[in-house]
Amino acid sequence: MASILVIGETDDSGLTAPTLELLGAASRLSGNLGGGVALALIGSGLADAAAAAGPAGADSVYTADADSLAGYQTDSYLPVAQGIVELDSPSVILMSQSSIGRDLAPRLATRLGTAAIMDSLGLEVDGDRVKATRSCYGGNARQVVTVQTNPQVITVRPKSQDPIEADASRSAEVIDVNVAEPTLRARTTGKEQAESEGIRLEDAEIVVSGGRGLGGPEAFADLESLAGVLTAAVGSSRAACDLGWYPPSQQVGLTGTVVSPTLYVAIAISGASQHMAGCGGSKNIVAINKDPDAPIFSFSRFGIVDDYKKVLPALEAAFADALD
Amino acid sequence: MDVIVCVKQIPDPETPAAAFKVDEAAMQVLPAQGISPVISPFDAQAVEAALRIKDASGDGTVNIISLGPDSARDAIKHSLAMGADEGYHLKDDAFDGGDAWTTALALSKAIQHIGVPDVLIFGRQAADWDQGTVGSIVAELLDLPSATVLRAVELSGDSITVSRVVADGFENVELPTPCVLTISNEFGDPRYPQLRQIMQAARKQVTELTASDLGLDASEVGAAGARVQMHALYQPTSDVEVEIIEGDTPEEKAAGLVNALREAKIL
Amino acid sequence: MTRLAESRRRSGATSTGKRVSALAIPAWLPLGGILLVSGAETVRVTGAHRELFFNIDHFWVLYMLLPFVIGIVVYGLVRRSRVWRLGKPIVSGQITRESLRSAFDDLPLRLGRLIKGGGGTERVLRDPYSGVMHLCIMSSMIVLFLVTALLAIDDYIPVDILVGPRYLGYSLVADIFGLVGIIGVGMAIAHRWVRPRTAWLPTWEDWLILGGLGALLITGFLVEGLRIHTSEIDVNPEWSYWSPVGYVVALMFSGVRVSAALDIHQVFWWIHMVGALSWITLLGYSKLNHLILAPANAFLKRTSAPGKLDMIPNIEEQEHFGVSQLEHFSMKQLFELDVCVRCGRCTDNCPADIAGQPLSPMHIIQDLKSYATAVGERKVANLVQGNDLNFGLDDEAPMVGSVVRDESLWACRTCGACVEACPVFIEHVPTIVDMRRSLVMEEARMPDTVQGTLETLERQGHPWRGTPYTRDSWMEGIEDRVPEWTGEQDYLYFVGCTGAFVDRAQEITRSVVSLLREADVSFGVIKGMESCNGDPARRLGHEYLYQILAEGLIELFNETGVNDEQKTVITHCPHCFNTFLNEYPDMGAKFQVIHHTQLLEQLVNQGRLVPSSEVPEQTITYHDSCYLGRHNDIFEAPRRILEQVPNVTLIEMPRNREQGLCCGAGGGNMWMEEQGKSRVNEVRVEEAVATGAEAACTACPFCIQMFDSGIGTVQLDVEDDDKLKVLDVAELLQAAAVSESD
Repeated sequence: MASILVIGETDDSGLTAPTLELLGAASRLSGNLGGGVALALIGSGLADAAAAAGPAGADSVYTADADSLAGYQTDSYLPVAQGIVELDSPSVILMSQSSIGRDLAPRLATRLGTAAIMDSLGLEVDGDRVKATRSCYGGNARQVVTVQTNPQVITVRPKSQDPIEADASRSAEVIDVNVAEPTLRARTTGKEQAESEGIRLEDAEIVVSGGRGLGGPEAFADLESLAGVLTAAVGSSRAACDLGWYPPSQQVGLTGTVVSPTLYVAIAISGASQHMAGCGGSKNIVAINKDPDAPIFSFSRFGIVDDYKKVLPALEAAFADALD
Repeated sequence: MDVIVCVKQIPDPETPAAAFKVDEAAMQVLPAQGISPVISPFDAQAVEAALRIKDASGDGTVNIISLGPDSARDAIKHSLAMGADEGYHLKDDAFDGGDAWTTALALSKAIQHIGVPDVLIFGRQAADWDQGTVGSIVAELLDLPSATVLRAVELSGDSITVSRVVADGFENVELPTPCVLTISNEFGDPRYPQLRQIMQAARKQVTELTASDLGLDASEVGAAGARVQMHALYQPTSDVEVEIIEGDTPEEKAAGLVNALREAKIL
Repeated sequence: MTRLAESRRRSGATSTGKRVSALAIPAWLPLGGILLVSGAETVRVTGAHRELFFNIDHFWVLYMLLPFVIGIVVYGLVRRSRVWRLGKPIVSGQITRESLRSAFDDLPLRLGRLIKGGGGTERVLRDPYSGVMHLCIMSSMIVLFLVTALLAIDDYIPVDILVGPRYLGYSLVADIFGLVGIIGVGMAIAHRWVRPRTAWLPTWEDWLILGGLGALLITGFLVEGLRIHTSEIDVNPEWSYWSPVGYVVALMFSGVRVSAALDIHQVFWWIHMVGALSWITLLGYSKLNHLILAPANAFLKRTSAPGKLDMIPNIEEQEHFGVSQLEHFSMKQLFELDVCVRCGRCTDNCPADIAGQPLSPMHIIQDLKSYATAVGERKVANLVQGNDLNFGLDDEAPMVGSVVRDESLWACRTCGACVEACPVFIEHVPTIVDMRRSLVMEEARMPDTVQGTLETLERQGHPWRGTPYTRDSWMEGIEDRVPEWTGEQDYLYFVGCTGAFVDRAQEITRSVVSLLREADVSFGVIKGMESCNGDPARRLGHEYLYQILAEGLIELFNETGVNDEQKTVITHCPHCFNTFLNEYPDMGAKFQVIHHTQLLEQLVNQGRLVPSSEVPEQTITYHDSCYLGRHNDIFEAPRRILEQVPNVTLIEMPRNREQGLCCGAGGGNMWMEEQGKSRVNEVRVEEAVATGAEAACTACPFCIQMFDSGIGTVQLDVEDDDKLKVLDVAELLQAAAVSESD
């Protein structure tokens, strides 16, 4: 029996980065909670991923490996997850706040007679409870919460936890779980990749935006390149749109799109109120402007005072390194 | 096709950060002066989705349920003004201090009370607590298939085809009825109510239901029945002061910025 | 632009087609040369004179026809009036004694307009070319009418007036004005032919009126010349010199035998007379009706400030909101459509049209006029036949959305330049806003950003969606220097949403406070509790939201003792000012209203503010805010302040005061994405830059933002120090009149 069950996810390269983070968090928490860390993997072709579980911090791995589980379906994953939980009887279940975790966690918790806390940023043991700190009110507030029933189901925001250093000498016991033929009510019929032209401004977690200070439309190609590295959307100030440098659909501002990403990178944007009305809700603003008095700095968390032309290539390289 | 939408009235998420205040002792958000509470934006989109389903199917009803204090009535009225047919207000002191679980429990009882419709729609999350679980819990309680975080909903014969937002794109999912859907912001803007409908909605009777109307004991709902406990509510320390990243070369500045972003857990 | 061109073609085609067919009625009958006999006819007895009906038999036919012609004209107008009467009585709302009274209030003003603007064609004369042209034609017609009437009177009274020198003078005047008329017609034709403006679309209607008039004047001279040739030139040549044009024509006929000339004379006489009578019938069926309708419209124009929008009373009980059908307009609004003469001055002065955006006020009026002809007549027929008003009209394209396009309605800045320019006193703005009301309240159809603005107004009580500020952010750090309103002070400084939520405008707010303190004005600010007075909602067409916001604010003013005849509200936003001053009385407001430039001017004049500090030497051009200037006639106060600041030289842009060009933000366009070739603010900034001024001053926080944004684009390549500066009058005055110590 493990104290913590991580319901992990896999992709072509094995365990996903958020799964490694969850295992890292679970390892740290289990020290205080007592008991081990188990990983549950649901999918098809899981052998390699299961093998990586031990080095990443799992003591045991439940694998539910079946062709019918190749893609996530609520109706197929839910009973399997329930079965694994019943086998393992964990006190805490961790999942990533991914499209799977978001869908599965609350249903699983309900089925188990307990509740789920979603999208935690920080986890801390308090007696037999895990206190989760999470963001609410659109980022304006933080709350600290615990699940009072068992098991405690918690989803965790990707990148909020660190994985442990992989230890190749460790291995985990692999337990195969029988998978019954699922009864699908809702079924996935197809998949579309997001349009290649980019992420929608209003949905983007990161927005890279350029203004009149860019001096010309060519610079937007550099912004797009940086956005590519950051998986960001590219926005523009009204001035730059008005000058025909970038399509009006990408305008951030009072009369354009109102965005509230986690990170807003304002490049050569002065920070007129018109524009700030469109991006003021961003959780973090980073400004790059050669004018140290530009109003944008007063809204920003971090700033670089320099010519964007010099900074941008270096920044793209630095981000590429960091995110690699 | 009959649809029920569950909505919530919340403090306006567009409240500027400068006006957002928390009473940490009471673990409550203080109402911002001059800023009225609104229907949670995702819920308004859910109502929009419901109205489109009703329009596409040519008949049926769109009914609204909201659990909350007196102000929840406004979210119901707003939905009625958008074109919904009837409103149900789950209002009882016993509901106070509840969590997603107790809310979902009461909603599921109310849905059974009204009659399980063909489609049940929720916003992907209420824009106050940002949890996003109530729709799924209700689906589980009523044992219905569900699809969450949807950007498109279409009626195809007796079934519903939806487009689900996932990490790297969209998944098309087909659901039988009855089913539960949660609508994401990608769905598009909800309609602006016509004045005539606002006035009709103002006159429309909203049915009030208490815990006992739903066959619930006070110990099952509200703070008594809650499964999640809050220990603290606070505002993250503000980062008003800009930190200018210094460096001798652009490369140094760039590296400094990336480090700072990592340390602040923004990246 | 293509759509616009289409709409222009459409309007031209339909309206003219209808009118020409009306002219084809066998109404082409004649009558007495009353109108234009110009250089013709006289009798010779003793001394100079001429014989009435010289060489003409059966002239009595003319007298027989006169009543027919009058009848035809009256029939045309009465028939048309049935369309006008589809509208609501006089003003929007129910017919009450009050609504009638409001249509005829302030008689001296109305009569003054009737005389100056109607009879005196005051506004027509503002344009030099068409002013002269119109004056030529009009004076010619009036004089020739009087000439003819005088001749007839002279003939039928026992005493002969027109004899001897009197006759000769009379004859000269007639000839001169005949010639003036021909010059006027020539100018009008040249205007259309030589340098046509898109706005005009010369149509058959134009050619018929002008060509007909030209032909009448020419045949008049022919008849006169032939009479002189056959009966005067040989006998009393010295008389003929007093009919110079006729004399020249007579000389041209000098080779023609008298008997033949007499025959030709008869032919032309009848052509002239029958033509004149026929032409007169155009009064009932073409835009020539402006002879009658334009003065009437000058009388009917609202006496309220042009920037006022009328309230929808008892809005919760209305069957419709705003105007989506002809019958939702007021009678006056429908009447007005027929007054339009397609001169295009509204469009020439429209900021949207100037910037190449999809709005032409003239085409809105003309398209509605065509629609009133096509659909209005059918509605009238339905009424006559006892059918439902809209029987058989289901397939008609909707008036709002198709006849008048949404984007045209949204492009309107409600700046009133069209209303100010219209020589026949049409009020385009209320008509446009009435249709917006239908879009917003009836159909909830509007641009996304408008919806966002309205939602923010509803929820947060201000229109600045996404602002990072709170109502009191502007006073951070100076809280103790901003006196709180206690109800005891004389003045309430109403900061307004822009002054509170927009960073650039917050600076103006602080300047105003600093000036009021410097001058020791007894004032206060309602901290935290202010809310929008509803102006943006009202301009955007959401009358209901306006009324809710206004009721809320009046309630606050009642509770805090502001709503009192002894109290004065200061605004630095001209939009707040206009709404408080002109529209709030309908909501029960009793307080006085003053714009900061008015108050500051008083304070400077009283010596309570002394602009003595040196500001850098600079040339400043003043930009008139529409809602301060054109709508409320405050042109001089801000200019006089600027003139008193040392080192400041004030220069004007070509479009200034009544003719000032909007900054582009009015009518809720502050919160809309402009569609079209260019942006209005850029056009205006270019005009300001072209004056060579170093700074532009204005007195409106919207104008300031629009200028700031326009300068960025227009002066993209200009070094920052050399860019046009934009200041509120208060900011400049503060620099000159407030010592730093405060």
